[in-house]
Amino acid sequence: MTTTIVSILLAGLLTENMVLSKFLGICPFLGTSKKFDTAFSMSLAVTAVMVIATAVTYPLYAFVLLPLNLAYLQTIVFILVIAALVQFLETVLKKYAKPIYESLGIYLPLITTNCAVLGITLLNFTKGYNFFESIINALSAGLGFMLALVIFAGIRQKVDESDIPEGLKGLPITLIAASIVSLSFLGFAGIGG
Amino acid sequence: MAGFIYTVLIVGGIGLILGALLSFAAKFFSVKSDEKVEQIRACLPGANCGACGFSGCDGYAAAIAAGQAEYNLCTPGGQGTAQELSKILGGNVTVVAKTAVVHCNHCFDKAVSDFAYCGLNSCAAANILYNGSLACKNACLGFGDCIKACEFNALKLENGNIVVDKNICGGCGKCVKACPKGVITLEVKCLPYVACSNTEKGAVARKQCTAACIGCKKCEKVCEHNAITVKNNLAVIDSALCVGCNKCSAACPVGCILN
Repeated sequence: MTTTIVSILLAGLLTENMVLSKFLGICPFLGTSKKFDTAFSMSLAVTAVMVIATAVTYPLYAFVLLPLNLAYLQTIVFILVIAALVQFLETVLKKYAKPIYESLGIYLPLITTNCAVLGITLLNFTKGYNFFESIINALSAGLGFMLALVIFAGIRQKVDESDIPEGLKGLPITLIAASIVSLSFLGFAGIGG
Repeated sequence: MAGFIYTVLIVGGIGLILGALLSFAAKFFSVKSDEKVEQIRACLPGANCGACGFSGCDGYAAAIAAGQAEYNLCTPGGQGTAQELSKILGGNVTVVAKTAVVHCNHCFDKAVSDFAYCGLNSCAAANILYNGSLACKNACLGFGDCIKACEFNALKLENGNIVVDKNICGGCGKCVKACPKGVITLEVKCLPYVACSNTEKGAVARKQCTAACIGCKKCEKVCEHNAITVKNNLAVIDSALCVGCNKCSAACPVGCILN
């Protein structure tokens, strides 16, 4: 049991990192990694939504879609559920947790149709995880997303200070830096089995 | 056929349930937004520069509505915004238009360097190494930390000098905070200012930079309103007394009083 959890955690963080190996959630990765603070808040919000979305979609798949032989509907149903869930979460947070809403609220609409969140809910079934493993998987994928964003925010702050050739300024140098970080994560392949 | 009906029922059903859930949530968890706050927010320029000291325009609007802030704190909006706000809230306020001013005018051919710096392209980094490479330790380093800080693109680098476009500058003060040398301050618009921060004695200052204020006191003598005094070998203009006649800039032998 413990080994499964550790290997899922390691996979989510390093070997199968959502952003750097699976290339899901590239849009927030490039969009919100300009500053450390925004990168951190965004990834916190993504992690929370990933775990909650998994907790909701797993029973839906296991107890509704699968018995009715409608597994092929999972993509469209999950999109519906996740979009509604994020909206619901935003309304509830606005009412009951004003400080959390103010720090994470602006990122929630961005997550509504985030492919990393949809990706993790679908991948849970491809891998055949049970409910508990799925939750751990979502958590580790969220933390992996956070790791990638925070590392990259640090790199971008350094890049902004350096002398970049005119033609590479802005997005081009960011994409080059992102590909190098992604390459370096390939080095983790094999860790955790 | 049965599968087709199930599919429609499941997707439609889930959609219906979620839609109902969301509309109930919108009803039960709704937060009443203050009409006054929205009115105030509409008057503000929306630059979110933070010059007022609150977290962006929304924060400032909420603070005004709660009576915790003055109306005249918005520098980018200036007099226009303050007037609009006083229309909504009553009362009358005036705002003195301010602009960022660089108290250094060295150009790279006038200032003498002690050593060549080739590190990170940032004033903050250059300042860490022996307070910068220039002989004058109060001089602008010219790497443009202020330009990066400015959200209105009001600052430019010309011949090694930071030039402020006074038509664009709203006086939010972000550049003032970004400058590690403290050569940028906010001053009243349209008045002359001293474009030097060197406090060395005349001869030493002259060796460090040919554009430096040498503390000759010519401006002090020519000023009819006693607005200029030379303190620490550096001319200082008191904006409360200055009327903007510009006689001082004409009298300055090194040309370091600009308008």
